Amino acid sequence: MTINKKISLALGIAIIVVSAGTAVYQNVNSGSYSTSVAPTGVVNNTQSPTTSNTAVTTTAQAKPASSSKTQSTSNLPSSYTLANIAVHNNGSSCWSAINGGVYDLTSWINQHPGGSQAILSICGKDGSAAFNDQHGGQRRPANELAGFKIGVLASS
Amino acid sequence: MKNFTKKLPFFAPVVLRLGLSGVIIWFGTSQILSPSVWTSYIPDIAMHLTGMSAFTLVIFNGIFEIVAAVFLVFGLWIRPVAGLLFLHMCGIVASVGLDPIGIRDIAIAAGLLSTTFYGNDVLSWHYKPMRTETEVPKLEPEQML
Repeated sequence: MTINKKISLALGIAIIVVSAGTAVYQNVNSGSYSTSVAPTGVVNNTQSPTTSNTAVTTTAQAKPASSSKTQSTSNLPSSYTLANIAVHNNGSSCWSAINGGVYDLTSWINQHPGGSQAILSICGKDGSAAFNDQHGGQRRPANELAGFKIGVLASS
Repeated sequence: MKNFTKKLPFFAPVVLRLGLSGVIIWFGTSQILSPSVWTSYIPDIAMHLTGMSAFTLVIFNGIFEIVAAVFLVFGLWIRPVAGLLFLHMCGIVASVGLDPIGIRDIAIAAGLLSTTFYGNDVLSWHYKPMRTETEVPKLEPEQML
């Protein structure tokens, strides 16, 4: 094996280890959401009927895994007040009310393409204005958001 | 210093190739570890054509990207692999659109196209150094007889 090939092999292994390791590290730090699917059956509303059944089946056994205390979906109330949401106002547990729905965004904080601060700024509060200002009318962010829904905002 | 700067151009395509490989490996690994995060990026037409769920398509896409990037990082069949990844990125740009993510993906596609054009660099597996006059002894006319 020539010296060039040896260098190429070493560099290639280094690149693979660094890149894959970074992705694994970020995945681990973002919480165990990555190993589970969205806790509700509302994943992608634009899916065709044939694929939506598969998605619902996939999500049927999912559990909300963003907090250290995992609970089965059936034990969680389906509606939350702003007071309930205000308790989850930091990076370790981030809930937000957006357009009438309540979303657990904890695992999304480090995954958000626009940076973590944008998500942290709406933790524990109504983030409808911020979300609509940035993503109003866009299909993809709305589809992405739907995967984090855990309930609806109760009218106080 | 002068010799160092003379050698730099040889490593330019190497840096480009390794950088692109690292980025694609990162995205492929992230898709396999967190497929639900990426399902919204799957266009509806892909699900209609394949009949598979977005979750499954993300997994397959992640595997494809990792395999292709591994070939690229070791410099194996650079032109076809980089060309395939370029086409793949063009599809992603077309799907994502001209938002900040799409603009960055255009740059990645341009890098992959550049790698496709360049082909084998000095650290690729199939690199064959060009024979120079110093390597090929020049025979005198008397020696040729």
